[in-house]
Amino acid sequence: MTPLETSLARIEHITIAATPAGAVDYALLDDLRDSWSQWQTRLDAALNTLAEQLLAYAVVRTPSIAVTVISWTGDVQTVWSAGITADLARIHQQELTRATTARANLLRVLLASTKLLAAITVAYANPLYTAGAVKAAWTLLQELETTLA
Amino acid sequence: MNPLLTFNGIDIATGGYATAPMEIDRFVTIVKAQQDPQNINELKGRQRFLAGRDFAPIEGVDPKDLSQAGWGVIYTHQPNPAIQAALKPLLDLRRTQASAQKAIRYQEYFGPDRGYRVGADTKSDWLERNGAGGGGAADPDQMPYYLMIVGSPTEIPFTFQYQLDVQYAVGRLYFGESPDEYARYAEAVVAAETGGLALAKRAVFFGVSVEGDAATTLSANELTAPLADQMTLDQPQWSVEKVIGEPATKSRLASLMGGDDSPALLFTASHGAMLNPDNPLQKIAQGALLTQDWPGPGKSPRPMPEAFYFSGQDIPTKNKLAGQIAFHFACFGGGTPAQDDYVEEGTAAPKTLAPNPFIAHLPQRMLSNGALATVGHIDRAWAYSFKTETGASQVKVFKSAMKRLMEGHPVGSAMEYFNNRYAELSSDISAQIRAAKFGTAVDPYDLSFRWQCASDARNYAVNGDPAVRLFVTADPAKIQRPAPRETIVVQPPDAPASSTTPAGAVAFGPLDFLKSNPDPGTSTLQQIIERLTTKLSETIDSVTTLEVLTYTASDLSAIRFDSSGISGAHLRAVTRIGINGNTINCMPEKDGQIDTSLWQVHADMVAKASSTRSEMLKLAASATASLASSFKIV
Repeated sequence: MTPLETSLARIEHITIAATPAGAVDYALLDDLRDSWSQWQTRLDAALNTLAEQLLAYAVVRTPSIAVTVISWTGDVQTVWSAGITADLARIHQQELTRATTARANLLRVLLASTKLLAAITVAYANPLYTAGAVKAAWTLLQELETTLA
Repeated sequence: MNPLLTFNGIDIATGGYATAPMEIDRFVTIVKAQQDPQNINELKGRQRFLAGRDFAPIEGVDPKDLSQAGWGVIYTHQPNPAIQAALKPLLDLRRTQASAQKAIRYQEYFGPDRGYRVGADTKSDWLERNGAGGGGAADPDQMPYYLMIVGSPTEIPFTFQYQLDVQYAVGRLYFGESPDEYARYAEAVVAAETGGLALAKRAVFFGVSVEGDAATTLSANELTAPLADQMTLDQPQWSVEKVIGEPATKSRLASLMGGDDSPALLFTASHGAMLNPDNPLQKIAQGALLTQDWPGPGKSPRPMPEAFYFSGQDIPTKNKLAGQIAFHFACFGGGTPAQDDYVEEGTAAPKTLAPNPFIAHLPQRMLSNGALATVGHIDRAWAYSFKTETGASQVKVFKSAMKRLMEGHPVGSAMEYFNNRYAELSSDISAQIRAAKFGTAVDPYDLSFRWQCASDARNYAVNGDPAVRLFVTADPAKIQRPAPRETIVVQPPDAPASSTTPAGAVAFGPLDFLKSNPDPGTSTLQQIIERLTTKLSETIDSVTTLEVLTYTASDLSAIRFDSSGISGAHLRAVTRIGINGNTINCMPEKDGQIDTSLWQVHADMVAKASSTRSEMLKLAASATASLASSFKIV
């Protein structure tokens, strides 16, 4: 698995655990809300970076063969080395396949992250799930920051 | 030779050591940079006092008898009346016990004159204002020997607790500002002391020992195992069980901490979890106990899975912890100060460990679910403090504390051995550092050893009432546990007393605002998602054509790409496919003919681009549809 695929698998397995009924710790919930604002900017930044990486042009270089600039929606500009042969072209196209697969996985990571965030946002408002929601969000943030590092 | 010191404590964000192993010479420079404790004269006084006799309180007072030793509670100058009311059953019991001989031996310290003045009081200020200045052994007719602090470490600092603990037997109770857990704790203590609780005389010594990890290997071999062996010999009426190494898993610990196998006395030794101060999980997980499930340094996924550690969230809500007293040898097992206790030489300020000091969540959850007291470490625990200068195992301080607990002493009295050790070592260290500053050669091993031991001895703190004790019996026929508590429904602080919430339902109360007015944090999250959704939607909408351009160049390193396109290359072929399928192809020419080989390469790129676009648009459309519907259920 590529690092992005691993990251995607981890994000898809993040769950929001409920605090056992009757064990809601209101003091802890207050503490969690205090810290919530301290790190949400990091989550915002991580998702923004992810979106920017996704929406930016990707440049794929295969030395001595070609350079391709590709947008996330598939627009392609390629400069081939003069006298390119089909065999050499295939090498560059394989590189390109890897890049586009990574781009698709980046979008999947963004999709999984935002879906999870939506669930976290709903769960956060329920005291039974607040602690679990914060934990899930933090795990997500760690995963995104590791992915973007 | 400059051996490495390995420290207790694992950063669960990385799965690695919270403090990197350090050469002993560097550690010694850190020790030398420490200031004397504020109460160094008092510590020296205690050491002199101990040379002549055994323990505080003053001669002739039996620490097992509250009517002789006394009991008091310390609040801030502005206590929360709801918390005072919640603790009333416990205070009534202690008043009855402590004032049986003299009324003065029961005290409640609160309000502007008698309470701890937040942000202003030192220990000396507070003692003098309450008629107990001057130091020396505790005289219960001046101030009770057992003192329970009720307040957060932000209000009533850990340093006040440490310093007061040198003379008195001190514990702390803090669950936040909701009175419910205080009421449950008070109820549990009263039930234990007046309800006939009698647990089996059973102690479990739980020690993690992970291959390749010096800290847990040491604590298992040099502390947990010999301590269990010595207690087996010393207390033949007790059943002493060792759970060390492979069996010391999270599931086994769960059975001992609120599960069906919970013993009266539990001793654990492992790494404590540590998190960075900006980590919102710090208050939940800091001080959680790493178990044998942890694969060792460098082998853990990042972040560390919950399966590797036991935190407050793993404590069940049924009160099978009733009557238990637990001792945790682990970093931050009792709590975390805002700033690190030691300062590196040449640095301006100690390292920040947390935005505010706090009590670990694990002992809080234990105390609110039946446990009577826990002993845990504030700040880091030092892996070598249970060894002698020559490397031999030295567990007599731990053994003495366990022995007292097993023989029915209150937990605050049992901890006196640690206070004595702190006094003795602090005096020695102060003398050694002073001598070193005047050029006397100091053995670095001896100095670092003493400093670790002193730090350890000082920082063990009691969470809970320091006057609680074990209620045990050697007669199986007399064992009596309270009935398992049914699921507790937490009443919000301002809910009417008569109102009830069905089990499993959510009692919102003061959190109702979350439903009608989403928290600012929630709103921000929503904004993030909406912004991303908008961005994706706009991008999809703007996509009307697919364009593939093919260039050639004799020197790839000379080409440039900017917003206007590519320069330094010859455009050879173009394909533009409209949203309606209209396609424009410009084919490459060579010597007046179509350059078929380049055209084939270009055609392959068109196929790839079409495939990429199709997949990305499908994913993006799925994303926006999913996200757009996410908030409809809020």
